[in-house]
Amino acid sequence: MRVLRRPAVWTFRLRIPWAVRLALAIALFLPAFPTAISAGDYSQGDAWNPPLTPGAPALAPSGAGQPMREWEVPLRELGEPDPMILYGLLSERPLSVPIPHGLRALELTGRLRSSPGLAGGRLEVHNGDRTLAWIPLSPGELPLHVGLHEGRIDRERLNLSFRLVPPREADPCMFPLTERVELEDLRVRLEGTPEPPHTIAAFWPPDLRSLVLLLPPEPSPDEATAALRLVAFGTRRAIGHPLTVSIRLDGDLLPLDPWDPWTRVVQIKRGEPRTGLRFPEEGFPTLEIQAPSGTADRIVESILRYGEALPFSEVAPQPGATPEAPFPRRITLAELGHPQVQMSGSGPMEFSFFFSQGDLGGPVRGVRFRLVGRMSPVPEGGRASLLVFLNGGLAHAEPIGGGAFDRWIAFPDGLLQRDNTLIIRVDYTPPGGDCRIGMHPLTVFMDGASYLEFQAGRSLGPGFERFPQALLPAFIVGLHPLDESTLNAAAQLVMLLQRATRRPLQPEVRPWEQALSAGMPRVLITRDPEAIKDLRPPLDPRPFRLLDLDGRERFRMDPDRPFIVLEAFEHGGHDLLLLTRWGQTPELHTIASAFDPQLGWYGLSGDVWIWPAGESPVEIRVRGAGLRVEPLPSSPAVWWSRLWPWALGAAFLGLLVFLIWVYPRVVRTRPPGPALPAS
Amino acid sequence: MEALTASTGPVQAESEEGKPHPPMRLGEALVARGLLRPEDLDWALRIQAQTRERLGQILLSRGLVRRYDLYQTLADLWGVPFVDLLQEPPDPELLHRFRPEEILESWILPLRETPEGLEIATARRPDAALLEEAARRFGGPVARVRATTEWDIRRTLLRFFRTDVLASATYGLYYRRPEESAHTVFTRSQFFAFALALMGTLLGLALAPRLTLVLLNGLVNFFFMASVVFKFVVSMVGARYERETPILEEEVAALKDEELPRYTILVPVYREASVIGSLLANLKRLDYPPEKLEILLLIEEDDRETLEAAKAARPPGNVCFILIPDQIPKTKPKACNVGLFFASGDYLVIYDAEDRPDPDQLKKAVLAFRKGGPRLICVQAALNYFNARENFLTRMFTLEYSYWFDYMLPGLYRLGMPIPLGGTSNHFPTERLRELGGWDPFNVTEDADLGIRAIVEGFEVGVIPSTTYEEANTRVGNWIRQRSRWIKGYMQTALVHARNPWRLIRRIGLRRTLGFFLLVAGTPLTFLSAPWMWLMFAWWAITRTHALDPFFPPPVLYVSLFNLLIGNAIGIYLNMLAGFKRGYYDLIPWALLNPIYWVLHSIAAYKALWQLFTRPFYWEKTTHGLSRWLGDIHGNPEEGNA
Repeated sequence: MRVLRRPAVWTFRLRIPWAVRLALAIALFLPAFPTAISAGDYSQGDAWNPPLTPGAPALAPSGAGQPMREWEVPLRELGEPDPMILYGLLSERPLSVPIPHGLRALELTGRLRSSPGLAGGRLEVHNGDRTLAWIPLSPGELPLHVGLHEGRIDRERLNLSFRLVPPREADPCMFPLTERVELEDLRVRLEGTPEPPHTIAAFWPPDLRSLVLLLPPEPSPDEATAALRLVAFGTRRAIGHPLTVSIRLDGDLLPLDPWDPWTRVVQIKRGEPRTGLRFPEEGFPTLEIQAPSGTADRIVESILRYGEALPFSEVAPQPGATPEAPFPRRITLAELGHPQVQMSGSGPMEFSFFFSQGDLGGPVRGVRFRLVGRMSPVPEGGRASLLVFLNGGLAHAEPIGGGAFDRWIAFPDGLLQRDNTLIIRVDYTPPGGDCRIGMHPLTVFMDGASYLEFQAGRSLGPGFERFPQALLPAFIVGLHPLDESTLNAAAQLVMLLQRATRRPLQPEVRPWEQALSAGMPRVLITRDPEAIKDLRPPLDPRPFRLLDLDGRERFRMDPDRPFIVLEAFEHGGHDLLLLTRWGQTPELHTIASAFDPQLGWYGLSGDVWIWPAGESPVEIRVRGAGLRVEPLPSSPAVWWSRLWPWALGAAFLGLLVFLIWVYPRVVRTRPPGPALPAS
Repeated sequence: MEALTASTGPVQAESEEGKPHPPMRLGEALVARGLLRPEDLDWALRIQAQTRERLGQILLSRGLVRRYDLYQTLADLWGVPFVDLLQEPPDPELLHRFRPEEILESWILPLRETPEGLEIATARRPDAALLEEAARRFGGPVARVRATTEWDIRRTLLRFFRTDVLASATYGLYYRRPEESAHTVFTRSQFFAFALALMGTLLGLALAPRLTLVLLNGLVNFFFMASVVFKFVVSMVGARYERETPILEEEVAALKDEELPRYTILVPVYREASVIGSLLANLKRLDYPPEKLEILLLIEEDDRETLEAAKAARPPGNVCFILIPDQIPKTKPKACNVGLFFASGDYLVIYDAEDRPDPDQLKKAVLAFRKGGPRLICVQAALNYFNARENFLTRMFTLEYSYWFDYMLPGLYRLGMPIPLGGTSNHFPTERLRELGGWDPFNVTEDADLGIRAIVEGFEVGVIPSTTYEEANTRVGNWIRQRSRWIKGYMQTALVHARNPWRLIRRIGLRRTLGFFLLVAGTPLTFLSAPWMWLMFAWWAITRTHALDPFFPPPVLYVSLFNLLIGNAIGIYLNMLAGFKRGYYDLIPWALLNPIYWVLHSIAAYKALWQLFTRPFYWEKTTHGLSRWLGDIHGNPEEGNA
């Protein structure tokens, strides 16, 4: 079976051809094209603001003179499974490795294990039309070394694919079930001197691992919004791994490796609109975004949308509007990254793809799948059936003959989850049940225009499963107070949520009181549990215990155990995500460290997530699970924590007085008595 | 004592009339005067044949004659007049031209200057050699000689050189070696380091409370563990040698009286009127020729009651009262320093008023010094209690002392570690003790300090297989007073010797320095920190709280568990061990109550800490004579423990 797939990419971006994007970018900066400009300071009478310094600035440092460095990128960090398994006749697996400018790929290493039945077969490593390696298969484990010197890098990506070619005598019917190749610990070695970007268009690396944001000391809501939008954008540019985010308000940059090609620094400042690259003495530049008060979010939005079409190092942008993305109601296979799907062979052939409700644009229900395609005729004596599974549940099954097919498959809401796997399977048995290759294979083609149709609505109960789709297309963020800690906590949450959907998240920070009463989905973050007492979340973030219907204690958080709590619930008809804590530790902005780095948000279930200090987090479903929350009375420890600073101050003063008083008593330099007689 | 080394043979001296006296021996003269019975004289002469001591000394030490009678008879025999220095004191100006040590050395006291020459008083036979010596010492010919007693000479010196003697006794160590005196409780750098540490801790609690508490917790627990392991190792070494007796009974029995050196016994007493009688009785039990013993009762000037009680006990002539001038610090080591000034024996030992030493202890000490070599400066006898089974406190005290003296001290000795001396039954060669500078009067555990100083100066301290039985405290308040003084003294000692730790390491080595700090500094630190550890444990055990979890990361948790389970078990076990050597098997189960006993230690430790800052030199007087067993035991103290 051969499955043709295109690698999953952010189709929302690539959907816009380059020319259109360039035109829009120019339009953004030309007052004569109002479609690109939002309301604000702009007026049609303003002159065109050309880039201040077109082209690469004369003082941009290059990597010339820097010593060559080596990197090793484990592919598991790019979201590839480890081990990567290949099975099935002529199975193929694509792989895309990000290669920053200035670096070249040296070698792909790993371990190869193949089942005994594959002896005599081979594993092929392709780069486009070029075959980089043929690796004969034999039972046991082999070290894998594939030279990548000849690999072509296309737009900072090295596209590889693995193809498994079994031995000739393999049984095509049994083959997929019994034989497999496992590729473990795949790593790509890179070498070179990173080339810093010289234009805004080239600022972002092919794989972003770390993003540092510098904001003014007391950021305004729009500046905070800009930061969170940058976090969402950066997360989408992190391939298969979490993004390390750090937001600093004091302007001081922690020591970074200046030649780290995977890290970027963005600074938001106040002033006249200007965006440009600020080059240090050595290393990668900082993207400096300067915006007047109240416009930082729109300026950043413009840069993010059209930045890749700006071959300049500095521009004077105008605030752009956040485009409203209407609810799509329909999304095609091509939009989900599968322009066409073709399977050929015999026996069971299946194609699966993943989609989340967030990818569909928000909470959905009533999902129907229109599957359009064609297949070759089933020879007489042969049999073929079409099966469609949603999240492991059989949604549709029918025998099929040859020719075109156009089926509507309705998925029950009960099968729908936040994250869904759709499997389309064709079982073909040739005449006589002979499954050898070459004996009249069946070819099935599924049109990329096949689509999912759905309605807006909730199909899931309140809880974490409603996120992130409930936050689409946009959501409010309330931070209390708006400081470095809560902003970093918000960044961590945005990063986690963005990893769970392909659609860009559009957070908007508003003043706390506004965020509390906003009539739309919200994310609220506060260190003070008193600030959210009117929201009546499933769990009041104070010491408590959970009792079941029989009154037995199921869980307990004592007053002397500080904890962080994340809760998902409905308020005012809208979904709300609340992050707060009880006690002084741990800090809210460390929340991401408690999540599984691979699963991320996917690992959450229930509606309450508690992270006690020094312990592992716990997930609970409080509402609708028959549990009752009983607050625990404040203990002396609580009062003590309030009195602690005063007690320390008193102790300090008391100690000082004591030391002054006792000094002459114990530090004596000369006895008061007479000296010894001369002797 | 030179005074009585004058020949008591026939003396040809010029009388005032110029006619020679008829030759007469001392004994005959005393008998002739009716001051001595003939049979007593015969007996004394037999003793003299054994001990080779002077007859006069034998008669005095046996209480057969009074001192004044003896010296007046001697004066007659020497042909010189007797002088009562109380009635006819010397010329102070003349006296102050000379050092009191010189006068003590020679037992010649310049009285006054006359136109013909110097008038002197002496307790020695005034022969030509003495006259020549006097002329040489005092820079002038001797015109007139008068006889007096050595007691009078001592008393006169103390009267006229009171300030000098007191200054020497009090500040002598400070002026000679200020770095070794506890007069300065904290040096400036120590004080600032201490203040910085406290301030830093408070700052840490404010900025990073969890980390600070974890660090403190970890430090305390690791230190506690090191201390426990150290004591266990030392005790095991001491236990290994428990059957080895370095001094055999046969060796003791083989000692001849004539070979024995002169021994000074210092007994500092203060408000001990009730025990003076038993003290003198206990000293009388010593198996040592009394004529070779010089017993100096060091009585505080203002303690009239004890003085009268001592007089009323009518001690023999080898017992002298030294009145210690009343001046701060009013401490035992200051009194001992005054006594050291007047000591004339070759060896010296300290006993407390209620002590009951083994009769052969002095002989064992003499043998130990003979075997020990020139660097041996002190031997320590074991201490134990005759009222071990009086109550809970005495039982625990006995176990503790048995463990300390029967296992710890021998272990420290075997490992070559510094030995903190006990407060009593320390035996010294007198001159070497003077070289060392005597005791530090500002240190309330002067004995422990002396032991460390001895090691620092390159001397050795040993132990002898002999026991002195004391009265264990029977009352909690009294016990706490005593224990707080000991702990305060340990703190003082640790502070003194920590002033320049690098110098200490260079002088005694790293191993000994660590051993010293673990023992001397570790003891108070252990008792200060123990209550907090126990409180945390109790809080956790009762409430099952998780509040303490952040302060016990795995390494600290494991160490603290070790301390809780193994450490305490070791402490109890070692105390149980203590009962075996002396056969106190019935006391062994009481060792299980050590945690309660340790609570008292902690109370005493905090009292000591407070006094270290507020009254560093204050001597908490332990009241003696409270045991009801005092009246029951007249003979073998072991009978009281049977």
